[in-house]
Amino acid sequence: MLQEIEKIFALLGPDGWGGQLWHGTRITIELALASLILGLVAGAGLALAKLSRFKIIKYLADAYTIIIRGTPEFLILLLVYYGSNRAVNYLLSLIGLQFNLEIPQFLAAVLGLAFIYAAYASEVFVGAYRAVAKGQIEAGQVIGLSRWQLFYRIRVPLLWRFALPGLGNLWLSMIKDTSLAAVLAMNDLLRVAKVAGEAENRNLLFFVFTGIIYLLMTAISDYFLRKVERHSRRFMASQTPTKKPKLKKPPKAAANTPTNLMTGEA
Amino acid sequence: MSQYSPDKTSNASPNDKSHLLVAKDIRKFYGQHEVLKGISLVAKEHQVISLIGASGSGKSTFLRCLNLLEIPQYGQIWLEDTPLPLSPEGGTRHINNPKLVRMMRARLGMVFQNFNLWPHMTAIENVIEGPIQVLGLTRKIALERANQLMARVGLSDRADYYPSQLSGGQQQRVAIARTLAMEPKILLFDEPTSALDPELVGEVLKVMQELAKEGRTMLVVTHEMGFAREVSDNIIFLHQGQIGEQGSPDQIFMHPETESCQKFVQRVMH
Repeated sequence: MLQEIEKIFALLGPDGWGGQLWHGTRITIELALASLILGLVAGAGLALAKLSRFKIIKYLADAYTIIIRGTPEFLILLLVYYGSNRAVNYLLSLIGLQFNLEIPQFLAAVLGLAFIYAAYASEVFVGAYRAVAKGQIEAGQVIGLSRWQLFYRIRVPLLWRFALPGLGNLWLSMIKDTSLAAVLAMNDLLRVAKVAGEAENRNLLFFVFTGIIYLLMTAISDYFLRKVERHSRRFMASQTPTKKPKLKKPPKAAANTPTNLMTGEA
Repeated sequence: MSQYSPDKTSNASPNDKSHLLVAKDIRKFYGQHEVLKGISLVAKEHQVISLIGASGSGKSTFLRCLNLLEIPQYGQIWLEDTPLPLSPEGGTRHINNPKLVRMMRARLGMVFQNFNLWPHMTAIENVIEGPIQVLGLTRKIALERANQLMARVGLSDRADYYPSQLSGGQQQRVAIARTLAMEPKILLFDEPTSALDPELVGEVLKVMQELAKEGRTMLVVTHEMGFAREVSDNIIFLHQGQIGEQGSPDQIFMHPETESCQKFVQRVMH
């Protein structure tokens, strides 16, 4: 028994597969983070397109979402990988350049994951945009804020509260979806585990260990997501503030001080 | 019953200097339903006008037309001689010159029924937002002014509170300070006390009373008949999207001429 545990530690340790597993984990994290950033930006853009006054732009954005949502993520990654290679080389040939440029797997995987994330994130953004109370926008309109000021001073700060839970869920799915990149021959965490498992004839061990690492990543994400969500609601009444508020407790006697005629009947 | 004569304001000149705000023949449709059937109004400097009437009579819609939160399909509005830039009358009317409308809105303060404070900003941040973003004041000067206004509405000690930490009456007073910070020519109040618990109504009315005493020009949509009677120079009774009757508080509350106004007054005064 003890021997068995020692063996497992050796397999997973730095002299065994530990280095490669760590490397795979890093690739997975990098993949997820890069896709998140790109996907958030694209998703926000896509959401604006869906809210556009121009019908054609709106329909195109809607169509994009329908296509992405209706296609397996796995297939999308394959399409982006093979499709982007073809497309780039075709475009190069158009301007008279004849060489076979290969899109790096990492880039293809990030693009594919970001395409997927953007489609779902745009729906979350649109919902959050609409959830901001109309009256708060009107309050900005009547003091003369411009459309852009209304957007970045009022709408955006208020919509995070509605968007973050949805975006957080999507992030957790994306961490797991990075494992699909293994099919593009990327040495991400899952692929390393598979190779190691086959080489050592210990599939189960490596898969369980990998599962724990994924779980760790999502648990840590979850912890931070909760913090960020709480921050986005910090000004709401039902929320106990994360930090002690800079506000003093309302003094009980305030209503009775005769500071001026408007505080009370007295 | 004597029929109330068509309103006297419809041939008012928009060029009279004392006329701050003139609205002429405002008509508004929601689909086929005509909610405003040609309402005209003249607000002179220092005048307090109350708009009263049953719910659904179009009071709030009319008020919202005046700063183009709603766009009336027909009719014209002048603010200090300048007509609001609207496309020609008809079905899909729109704002022609958004920049000009922004400037005019900044001179027409509005206080809402539901306060509509921005929840992510503290009370004082709500008040300085417009002066900094729209009037271009420095933060320092905006803060100085905002602090004075907070004192005037009796909330100096609540400047750093978020709206969610304030009572309804306090929120509405912050909203009034936010509106005053823009130094508007006219104040529009859209049922400012309707969302408040009864015991909080007084503190808001008191602030409004002070503003009226100062000689502010005010248009107030209200259900507070005592306030309307005491403070207004002129009362407009709206009935089914039209001006049912208008006149001095005494006339409207003591000697209403039209049947609809008599009924309404009887209902709300008892």
